[in-house]
Amino acid sequence: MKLVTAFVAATLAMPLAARAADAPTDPQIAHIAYTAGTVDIAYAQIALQKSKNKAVREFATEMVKDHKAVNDKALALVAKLGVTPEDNATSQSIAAQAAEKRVELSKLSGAAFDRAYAENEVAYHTMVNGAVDTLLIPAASNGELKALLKVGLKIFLGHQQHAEHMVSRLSHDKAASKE
Amino acid sequence: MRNVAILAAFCALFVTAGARVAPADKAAHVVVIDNLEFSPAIVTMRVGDRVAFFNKDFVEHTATAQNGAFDLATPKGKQASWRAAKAGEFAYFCRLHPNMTGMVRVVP
Repeated sequence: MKLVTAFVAATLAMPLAARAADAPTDPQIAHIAYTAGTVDIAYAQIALQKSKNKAVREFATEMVKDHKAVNDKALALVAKLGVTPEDNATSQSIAAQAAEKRVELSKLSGAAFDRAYAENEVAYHTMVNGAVDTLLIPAASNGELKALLKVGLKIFLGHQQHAEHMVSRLSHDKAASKE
Repeated sequence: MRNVAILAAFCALFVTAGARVAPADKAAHVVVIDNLEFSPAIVTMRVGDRVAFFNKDFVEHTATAQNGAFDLATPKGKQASWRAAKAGEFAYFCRLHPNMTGMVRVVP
Protein backbone atom coordinates (compact mmCIF):
# COMPACT_ATOMS: atom_id res chain seq x y z
CA MET A 1 0.00 0.00 0.00
CA LYS A 2 2.91 2.30 0.81
CA LEU A 3 4.32 1.68 -2.67
CA VAL A 4 1.04 2.61 -4.31
CA THR A 5 0.70 5.71 -2.19
CA ALA A 6 4.29 6.64 -3.05
CA PHE A 7 3.56 5.99 -6.74
CA VAL A 8 0.49 8.22 -6.64
CA ALA A 9 2.35 10.92 -4.70
CA ALA A 10 5.32 10.78 -7.07
CA THR A 11 3.02 10.92 -10.09
CA LEU A 12 1.21 13.97 -8.76
CA ALA A 13 4.52 15.70 -8.01
CA MET A 14 5.70 15.33 -11.60
CA PRO A 15 5.51 18.14 -14.13
CA LEU A 16 2.42 17.84 -16.35
CA ALA A 17 4.37 16.81 -19.48
CA ALA A 18 6.15 13.99 -17.66
CA ARG A 19 2.91 12.91 -16.01
CA ALA A 20 1.19 12.65 -19.39
CA ALA A 21 4.00 10.44 -20.67
CA ASP A 22 3.87 8.17 -17.60
CA ALA A 23 0.11 8.10 -17.10
CA PRO A 24 -1.32 4.58 -17.20
CA THR A 25 -2.92 3.47 -20.44
CA ASP A 26 -6.51 2.19 -20.60
CA PRO A 27 -5.41 -1.50 -20.59
CA GLN A 28 -3.27 -0.74 -17.50
CA ILE A 29 -6.09 1.21 -15.82
CA ALA A 30 -8.46 -1.72 -16.38
CA HIS A 31 -5.89 -4.05 -14.82
CA ILE A 32 -5.29 -1.78 -11.80
CA ALA A 33 -9.03 -1.33 -11.14
CA TYR A 34 -9.73 -5.06 -11.48
CA THR A 35 -6.79 -5.96 -9.22
CA ALA A 36 -7.91 -3.46 -6.57
CA GLY A 37 -11.38 -5.06 -6.60
CA THR A 38 -10.10 -8.64 -6.29
CA VAL A 39 -7.84 -7.59 -3.38
CA ASP A 40 -10.83 -6.29 -1.42
CA ILE A 41 -12.87 -9.41 -2.22
CA ALA A 42 -9.99 -11.51 -0.80
CA TYR A 43 -9.95 -9.41 2.41
CA ALA A 44 -13.71 -9.89 2.70
CA GLN A 45 -13.42 -13.64 2.26
CA ILE A 46 -10.97 -13.78 5.19
CA ALA A 47 -13.46 -11.76 7.26
CA LEU A 48 -16.28 -14.14 6.37
CA GLN A 49 -14.12 -17.08 7.46
CA LYS A 50 -12.93 -15.53 10.72
CA SER A 51 -15.43 -12.98 12.04
CA LYS A 52 -18.53 -13.65 14.10
CA ASN A 53 -19.43 -9.97 14.34
CA LYS A 54 -22.72 -9.27 12.51
CA ALA A 55 -21.74 -5.78 11.28
CA VAL A 56 -18.36 -7.00 10.04
CA ARG A 57 -19.90 -9.97 8.24
CA GLU A 58 -22.56 -7.77 6.62
CA PHE A 59 -19.89 -5.34 5.45
CA ALA A 60 -17.72 -8.15 4.08
CA THR A 61 -20.69 -9.66 2.25
CA GLU A 62 -21.38 -6.26 0.69
CA MET A 63 -17.73 -5.95 -0.39
CA VAL A 64 -17.87 -9.31 -2.17
CA LYS A 65 -21.11 -8.42 -3.96
CA ASP A 66 -20.22 -4.83 -4.92
CA HIS A 67 -16.64 -5.43 -6.06
CA LYS A 68 -17.72 -8.48 -8.03
CA ALA A 69 -20.47 -6.42 -9.68
CA VAL A 70 -18.01 -3.64 -10.62
CA ASN A 71 -15.40 -6.13 -11.83
CA ASP A 72 -18.02 -7.94 -13.93
CA LYS A 73 -18.91 -4.58 -15.51
CA ALA A 74 -15.23 -3.90 -16.16
CA LEU A 75 -14.72 -7.32 -17.75
CA ALA A 76 -17.78 -6.84 -19.96
CA LEU A 77 -16.50 -3.42 -21.01
CA VAL A 78 -12.97 -4.55 -21.92
CA ALA A 79 -14.48 -7.45 -23.87
CA LYS A 80 -16.75 -5.03 -25.74
CA LEU A 81 -13.85 -2.65 -26.46
CA GLY A 82 -11.52 -5.48 -27.46
CA VAL A 83 -9.01 -4.35 -24.80
CA THR A 84 -6.75 -6.81 -22.97
CA PRO A 85 -5.97 -5.63 -19.40
CA GLU A 86 -2.22 -5.15 -19.06
CA ASP A 87 -0.27 -6.02 -15.93
CA ASN A 88 1.87 -3.18 -14.62
CA ALA A 89 3.97 -1.99 -11.67
CA THR A 90 1.00 -0.41 -9.85
CA SER A 91 -1.10 -3.60 -10.06
CA GLN A 92 1.89 -5.60 -8.86
CA SER A 93 2.52 -3.34 -5.87
CA ILE A 94 -1.18 -3.45 -4.90
CA ALA A 95 -1.12 -7.27 -5.06
CA ALA A 96 2.18 -7.52 -3.13
CA GLN A 97 1.03 -5.23 -0.32
CA ALA A 98 -2.26 -7.09 -0.11
CA ALA A 99 -0.49 -10.43 0.22
CA GLU A 100 1.42 -9.07 3.25
CA LYS A 101 -1.77 -7.69 4.80
CA ARG A 102 -3.61 -11.00 4.31
CA VAL A 103 -0.85 -12.78 6.25
CA GLU A 104 -1.18 -10.18 9.04
CA LEU A 105 -4.97 -10.57 9.18
CA SER A 106 -4.86 -14.36 9.10
CA LYS A 107 -2.83 -14.35 12.36
CA LEU A 108 -5.56 -12.46 14.24
CA SER A 109 -8.89 -13.58 15.66
CA GLY A 110 -11.94 -12.32 17.55
CA ALA A 111 -12.27 -8.59 18.30
CA ALA A 112 -8.62 -7.94 17.35
CA PHE A 113 -9.29 -9.32 13.86
CA ASP A 114 -12.52 -7.31 13.51
CA ARG A 115 -10.75 -4.05 14.38
CA ALA A 116 -7.78 -4.78 12.10
CA TYR A 117 -10.06 -5.72 9.20
CA ALA A 118 -12.24 -2.63 9.67
CA GLU A 119 -9.26 -0.28 9.96
CA ASN A 120 -7.63 -1.83 6.91
CA GLU A 121 -10.86 -1.35 4.94
CA VAL A 122 -10.80 2.37 5.77
CA ALA A 123 -7.11 2.67 4.85
CA TYR A 124 -7.41 0.55 1.69
CA HIS A 125 -10.48 2.36 0.37
CA THR A 126 -8.93 5.74 1.17
CA MET A 127 -5.81 4.81 -0.80
CA VAL A 128 -7.65 3.26 -3.76
CA ASN A 129 -10.23 6.06 -3.93
CA GLY A 130 -7.42 8.63 -4.01
CA ALA A 131 -5.76 6.78 -6.87
CA VAL A 132 -9.01 6.33 -8.82
CA ASP A 133 -9.87 10.01 -8.39
CA THR A 134 -6.50 11.62 -9.07
CA LEU A 135 -4.77 9.09 -11.30
CA LEU A 136 -7.05 6.63 -13.07
CA ILE A 137 -10.05 8.83 -13.97
CA PRO A 138 -7.94 11.70 -15.37
CA ALA A 139 -5.77 9.23 -17.33
CA ALA A 140 -8.62 7.15 -18.82
CA SER A 141 -9.05 8.02 -22.49
CA ASN A 142 -12.08 5.84 -23.33
CA GLY A 143 -15.32 7.56 -22.31
CA GLU A 144 -17.06 4.36 -21.15
CA LEU A 145 -14.07 3.34 -19.04
CA LYS A 146 -13.95 6.81 -17.49
CA ALA A 147 -17.70 6.65 -16.76
CA LEU A 148 -17.40 3.23 -15.11
CA LEU A 149 -14.51 4.49 -12.97
CA LYS A 150 -16.63 7.46 -11.88
CA VAL A 151 -19.54 5.21 -10.83
CA GLY A 152 -17.04 2.86 -9.19
CA LEU A 153 -15.56 5.76 -7.22
CA LYS A 154 -19.01 6.69 -5.84
CA ILE A 155 -19.57 3.08 -4.76
CA PHE A 156 -16.10 2.87 -3.18
CA LEU A 157 -16.53 6.21 -1.37
CA GLY A 158 -19.71 4.70 0.07
CA HIS A 159 -17.65 1.69 1.24
CA GLN A 160 -15.09 4.03 2.80
CA GLN A 161 -17.78 5.83 4.78
CA HIS A 162 -19.44 2.53 5.73
CA ALA A 163 -16.03 1.22 6.91
CA GLU A 164 -15.49 4.39 8.99
CA HIS A 165 -18.87 3.78 10.67
CA MET A 166 -17.83 0.18 11.31
CA VAL A 167 -14.57 1.30 12.97
CA SER A 168 -16.48 3.76 15.20
CA ARG A 169 -18.98 1.09 16.15
CA LEU A 170 -16.27 -1.45 17.01
CA SER A 171 -14.45 1.17 19.13
CA HIS A 172 -17.73 1.96 20.89
CA ASP A 173 -18.36 -1.78 21.50
CA LYS A 174 -14.84 -2.14 22.91
CA ALA A 175 -15.33 0.83 25.25
CA ALA A 176 -18.73 -0.48 26.34
CA SER A 177 -17.32 -3.93 27.12
CA LYS A 178 -14.77 -2.34 29.50
CA GLU A 179 -17.44 -0.50 31.48
CA MET B 1 -68.95 -17.93 -20.99
CA ARG B 2 -71.10 -18.37 -17.88
CA ASN B 3 -68.04 -19.61 -15.95
CA VAL B 4 -66.07 -16.55 -17.06
CA ALA B 5 -68.86 -14.27 -15.83
CA ILE B 6 -68.95 -16.04 -12.46
CA LEU B 7 -65.17 -15.78 -12.17
CA ALA B 8 -65.25 -12.07 -13.05
CA ALA B 9 -67.96 -11.45 -10.45
CA PHE B 10 -65.95 -13.37 -7.86
CA CYS B 11 -62.80 -11.35 -8.67
CA ALA B 12 -64.73 -8.08 -8.45
CA LEU B 13 -66.11 -9.10 -5.05
CA PHE B 14 -62.62 -10.10 -3.87
CA VAL B 15 -61.05 -6.84 -5.02
CA THR B 16 -63.82 -4.80 -3.40
CA ALA B 17 -63.51 -6.73 -0.17
CA GLY B 18 -59.74 -6.33 -0.27
CA ALA B 19 -60.06 -2.59 -0.75
CA ARG B 20 -62.25 -2.38 2.31
CA VAL B 21 -59.74 -4.27 4.46
CA ALA B 22 -56.68 -2.29 3.30
CA PRO B 23 -57.52 1.26 2.28
CA ALA B 24 -55.96 2.28 -1.00
CA ASP B 25 -52.93 4.61 -0.86
CA LYS B 26 -53.94 8.20 -1.32
CA ALA B 27 -51.12 8.87 -3.76
CA ALA B 28 -47.94 7.20 -4.94
CA HIS B 29 -44.52 8.80 -5.22
CA VAL B 30 -41.40 7.36 -6.82
CA VAL B 31 -37.76 7.92 -5.92
CA VAL B 32 -35.37 6.56 -8.53
CA ILE B 33 -31.97 5.32 -7.36
CA ASP B 34 -29.55 5.87 -10.22
CA ASN B 35 -25.80 6.35 -10.24
CA LEU B 36 -25.76 6.24 -6.43
CA GLU B 37 -28.22 9.09 -6.01
CA PHE B 38 -31.79 9.27 -4.74
CA SER B 39 -33.84 11.34 -7.19
CA PRO B 40 -35.65 13.47 -6.31
CA ALA B 41 -33.58 13.92 -3.17
CA ILE B 42 -36.55 15.44 -1.31
CA VAL B 43 -40.08 14.07 -1.57
CA THR B 44 -43.04 15.83 0.03
CA MET B 45 -46.19 13.79 0.53
CA ARG B 46 -49.28 13.51 2.70
CA VAL B 47 -50.08 11.05 5.47
CA GLY B 48 -51.46 7.93 3.78
CA ASP B 49 -49.34 8.37 0.64
CA ARG B 50 -46.84 5.76 -0.43
CA VAL B 51 -43.30 6.28 -1.70
CA ALA B 52 -41.53 3.63 -3.77
CA PHE B 53 -37.75 3.45 -4.14
CA PHE B 54 -36.77 1.97 -7.50
CA ASN B 55 -33.14 0.86 -7.81
CA LYS B 56 -31.77 1.25 -11.35
CA ASP B 57 -28.14 0.69 -10.25
CA PHE B 58 -26.17 -2.53 -10.71
CA VAL B 59 -25.47 -2.84 -6.98
CA GLU B 60 -27.83 -3.34 -4.04
CA HIS B 61 -28.95 -0.38 -1.93
CA THR B 62 -31.21 0.34 1.01
CA ALA B 63 -33.45 3.28 1.91
CA THR B 64 -33.08 3.50 5.66
CA ALA B 65 -34.69 6.18 7.82
CA GLN B 66 -32.35 7.63 10.43
CA ASN B 67 -35.14 7.44 13.02
CA GLY B 68 -35.90 3.80 12.21
CA ALA B 69 -39.30 4.49 10.59
CA PHE B 70 -38.34 2.37 7.55
CA ASP B 71 -35.47 0.17 6.40
CA LEU B 72 -36.10 -1.01 2.86
CA ALA B 73 -33.81 -3.32 0.90
CA THR B 74 -33.74 -2.46 -2.79
CA PRO B 75 -31.84 -5.10 -4.75
CA LYS B 76 -30.63 -4.09 -8.22
CA GLY B 77 -33.51 -3.59 -10.62
CA LYS B 78 -36.12 -3.91 -7.84
CA GLN B 79 -38.24 -1.57 -5.79
CA ALA B 80 -39.56 -1.37 -2.26
CA SER B 81 -42.10 1.04 -0.80
CA TRP B 82 -43.21 2.65 2.44
CA ARG B 83 -46.60 4.10 3.38
CA ALA B 84 -46.48 7.14 5.65
CA ALA B 85 -48.74 6.65 8.67
CA LYS B 86 -47.85 9.93 10.38
CA ALA B 87 -46.50 13.36 9.59
CA GLY B 88 -42.87 14.29 10.06
CA GLU B 89 -39.48 14.63 8.40
CA PHE B 90 -37.74 11.38 7.62
CA ALA B 91 -34.09 11.80 6.68
CA TYR B 92 -32.82 8.60 5.14
CA PHE B 93 -29.66 7.07 3.70
CA CYS B 94 -28.31 3.88 2.16
CA ARG B 95 -26.84 1.66 4.88
CA LEU B 96 -24.45 0.08 2.36
CA HIS B 97 -23.29 3.39 0.85
CA PRO B 98 -23.92 6.06 3.52
CA ASN B 99 -22.80 8.80 1.13
CA MET B 100 -26.30 8.43 -0.44
CA THR B 101 -28.90 10.49 1.42
CA GLY B 102 -32.45 11.78 0.93
CA MET B 103 -35.47 13.18 2.74
CA VAL B 104 -39.17 12.30 2.87
CA ARG B 105 -41.38 15.10 4.24
CA VAL B 106 -44.82 13.93 5.31
CA VAL B 107 -47.45 16.61 5.87
CA PRO B 108 -50.90 16.06 7.48
